[in-house]
Amino acid sequence: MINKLIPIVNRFIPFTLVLLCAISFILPSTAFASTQYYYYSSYAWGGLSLEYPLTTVSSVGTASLDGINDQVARVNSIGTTTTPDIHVTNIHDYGSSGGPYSIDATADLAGQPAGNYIIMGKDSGNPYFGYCFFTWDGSAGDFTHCGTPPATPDACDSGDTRICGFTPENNSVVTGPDVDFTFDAWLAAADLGPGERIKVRLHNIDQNVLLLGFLSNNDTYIINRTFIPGEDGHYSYSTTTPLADGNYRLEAWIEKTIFFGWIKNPFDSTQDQVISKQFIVGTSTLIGNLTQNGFNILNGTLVGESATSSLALVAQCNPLGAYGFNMVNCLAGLFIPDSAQVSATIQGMRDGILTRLPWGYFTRFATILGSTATTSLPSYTVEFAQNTAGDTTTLAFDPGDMLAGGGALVDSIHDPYNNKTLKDIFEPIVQLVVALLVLFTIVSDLTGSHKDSASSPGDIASKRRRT
Amino acid sequence: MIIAFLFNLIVLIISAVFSILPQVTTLPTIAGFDIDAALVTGMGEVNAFFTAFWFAKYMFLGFLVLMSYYSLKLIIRFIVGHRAPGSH
Repeated sequence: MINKLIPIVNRFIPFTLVLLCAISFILPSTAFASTQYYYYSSYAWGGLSLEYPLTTVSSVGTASLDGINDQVARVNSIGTTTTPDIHVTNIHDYGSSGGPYSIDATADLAGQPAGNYIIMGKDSGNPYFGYCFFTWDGSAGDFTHCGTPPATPDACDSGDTRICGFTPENNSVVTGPDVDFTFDAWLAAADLGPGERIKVRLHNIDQNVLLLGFLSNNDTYIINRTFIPGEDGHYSYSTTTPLADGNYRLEAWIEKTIFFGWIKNPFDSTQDQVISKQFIVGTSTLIGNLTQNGFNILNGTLVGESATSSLALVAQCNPLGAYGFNMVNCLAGLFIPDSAQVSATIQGMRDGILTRLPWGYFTRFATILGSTATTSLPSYTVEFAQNTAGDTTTLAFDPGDMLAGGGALVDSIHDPYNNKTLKDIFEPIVQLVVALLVLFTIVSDLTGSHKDSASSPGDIASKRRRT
Repeated sequence: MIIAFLFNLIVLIISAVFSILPQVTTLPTIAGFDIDAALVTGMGEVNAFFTAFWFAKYMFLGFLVLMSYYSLKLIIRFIVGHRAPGSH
């Protein structure tokens, strides 16, 4: 009996897996289509422009102002739901010191007319910042979205290599046709190297990715910029691009490459610096929504969560556990190693195997050859005796100055049309020629073609007779 | 976790086998000559040279890639003998 059941079960396993994947993909997508997006409201205060979800009041609640730890909090009216008012009216102040504060909607907003309100707060010496927007219906308040204070903007002027800022915001709806893009990244001196790349890419996801991607997989990038850093520091990029209505994906990442930028270096830790954001210009499309939402779910599951902890995902393998059962998260946690685990494994391999005698010497030798640190060239001083006794003339020669001067001189030459330097023009050509030569050498060595060409005609004839 | 465990297990076993060998972090000093310091200084000066003569940097990188290839080939030939590609 069991032997008869096994083939039947086996036949249904692939179908079941496909069905589960489809359900886990489609259900959230349809839910997304029905809930649409948060309506965003912009508000400026003290030169600070903010965007927050406009919360609809549905029940009485309180907001603990966790981000306002020191000085002042207040609630301001910013007009009715249909007529926002930039001239705010102060409704309630919460002390001048101490905190954190807690706002009780029923007590603090009692008697106030229905409309839009904002909770403001500030620390000592700083301007007010918007804590959250909400709509008051005259009798109740819900501060669901008030729990997270606005993130402090990254100054992007020190620290580890990272992507600091990146707009438009994720899941935002922007008005077209002209869309502003900004990108900021910080490159630490330790990560500066010949293979370092900072990339920004924008593409439409209405048709190119999901269903129609199988029919037409040409993914055209509207913005496709690659920065090849010459020095450490702050890298920024901003542009305004006209875009038609639809769904778009903006991606930025920092990577270290090998072989002249052809291949990503899988052993480099900066590979984790990847940010993807989806946004909508004007009106979205059905496929665009599916793509955007599906990407968010999968990206959040497979990249975001597994990158931080696969243990948190594996906890969802237990149907009776407190974390809830989620098959996708469970499988991801079981089979996709998170970045910390991969880094630890690679580091363990380096420490435990590659640094052992005798090949450890070769590893060290290769590490030194691949380093990008520079050392000042030695300078020379020659002293000559003059005709008069005791007088000397000194000639100093500093190769560092010569190289710096030569480099500056070469960089000062620009072509008159595109304002590019000699390096800008010829560097890709030199890279291509060197790469082709290397490739040709390797291929000819693998195929053994150089051996035949080096043979004399007599050798070739004798080889033919043998065969 | 399963894949990570397998990777860790493989690395752990190989590391345990090779743990009898001493670990090296720098090249040796022979007859008072510090090879490691000399190479580090030399490569630093070569890199300083490359800041102006940037095209030489790519030739050097190409040389490194070729050396990596020949090293890899030597290792493969050591392991699989005459069946290694290009050994005919």
